Amino acid sequence: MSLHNDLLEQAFHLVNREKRRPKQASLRRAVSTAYYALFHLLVDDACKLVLSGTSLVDFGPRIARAFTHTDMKQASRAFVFAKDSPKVPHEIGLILKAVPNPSKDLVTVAKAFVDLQEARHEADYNLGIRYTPHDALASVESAKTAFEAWRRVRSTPLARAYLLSLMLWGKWVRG
Amino acid sequence: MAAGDFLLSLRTAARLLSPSVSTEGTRLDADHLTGVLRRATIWLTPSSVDGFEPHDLHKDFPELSDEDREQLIRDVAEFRRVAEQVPGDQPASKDQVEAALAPFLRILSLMQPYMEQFQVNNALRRGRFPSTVRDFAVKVGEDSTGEKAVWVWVIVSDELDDEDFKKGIVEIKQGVEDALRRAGIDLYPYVRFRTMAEQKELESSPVG
Repeated sequence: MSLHNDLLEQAFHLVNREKRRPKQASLRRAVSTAYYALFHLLVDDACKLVLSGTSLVDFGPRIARAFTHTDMKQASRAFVFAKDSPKVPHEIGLILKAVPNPSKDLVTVAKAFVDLQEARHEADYNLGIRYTPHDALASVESAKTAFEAWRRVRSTPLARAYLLSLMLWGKWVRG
Repeated sequence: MAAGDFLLSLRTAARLLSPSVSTEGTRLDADHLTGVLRRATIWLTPSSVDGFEPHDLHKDFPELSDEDREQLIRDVAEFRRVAEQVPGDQPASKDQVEAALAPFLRILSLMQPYMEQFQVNNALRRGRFPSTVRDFAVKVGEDSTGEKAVWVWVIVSDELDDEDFKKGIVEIKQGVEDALRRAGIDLYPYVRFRTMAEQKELESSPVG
C-alpha cells in the first residue's frame, strides 16, 4: 500500500483507538495524520505528473521535498474561491478564467486541504484547545471524502493544473 | 443579553455613519472612519453604547486583557458623558465631535472582532441546518498563514451516532458556508464539531 493510504488508515485507527476516554495525543495525531495523508496523496500525484518510470523512483523523493505547505494552502484557496484576484498568479488566473466553475470534487479536495492544514497546525501546536472525538473524526472523514473526490477528478485537465499550482505556486507568486 | 445589545448598538451606530463604512467585514479603516465620523454626527448619541454592562465584561469578552477592559469602561463613560450633552434637536458641535471621536474609535476597534462574531452568529442562526445541530460557537481571528478567518464550532445532539454524524458533516459544512455567503461575510470558515456533552465537558474541565 502507498504511504498516503497507510496514513489515512492510521488516522482512522488513532481516532478510534480509545473509545471510552480518548487521549488527547491520539486525537491530535489522528488530525495531523489525516492532513499528511492528503498531503502525500497530492504530492505523489504531482510527482507522477512530471516524472515516470525509473525517473520517478530516482527523483520523486527530491521533487516531493520541494513542496511547501504554505504555498500549497494558498494555491488550494485560489481553487476553492475559483476567482481571479491580485493574489492569484497570472498562470492560475488564466486557468480559472477558462474554467470558471471547477468541479465540485476538485473544490472538495482543495477545501479539505486548506481545512486540514489549519487543523493540523492547531493539533500539533495549539495546546490551548482540547480536542473532542467528534472534532477529530470530522477531520479524518474530511480526508477520506477528499481521497474519494480526488479519485474521481484526478485525470481532468483542471486537476492537473491544480497539482502544478501546488508545486509551483511559490515560484509563480514570488517570480 | 447585555453583550448582544451592546454590540447591536455599536453596529447600528456604525451603519448610520455611511454605507461605505462597514464594521461587518474586514474593513474598519481607521483613517477613513475618522473622516466619516467627523462629517456625520448621528453616531454621537448615548444609544450607540446601549447595553454596555461593565460588570459583565469578564464574562462577555473574556479574550480582552484587564487593561483593555479598563480602557473600554473609561471610553464608554467618556463617550456617554459627551453624547448626553448634545441637544436632541441640534447637531453636535465640532468640539463635542472631537471629544467623542477618540473614545468611540477605540471602542469600535476593541469590539470589532466581537461585532464580526456577533454577525456570524446571527447569520448561522438564520441558516438552514439539520435538526441535529443544536448550537454554534464562533471565533474570528487570523489563521496559521495570517489570513483572516472564522472558526465555527457546530454543536450537535448527543443522540447522533457516529454513522449519522459522518453522513451529516458535508451538509453541515455547506450550511455554514451558505449562511455566511448569504449574509455577505467574506471570511474563510473553519468548521469544527462537538456534541452537547463534549461542549459541556469542555466548559467544566481545564484545557489539556
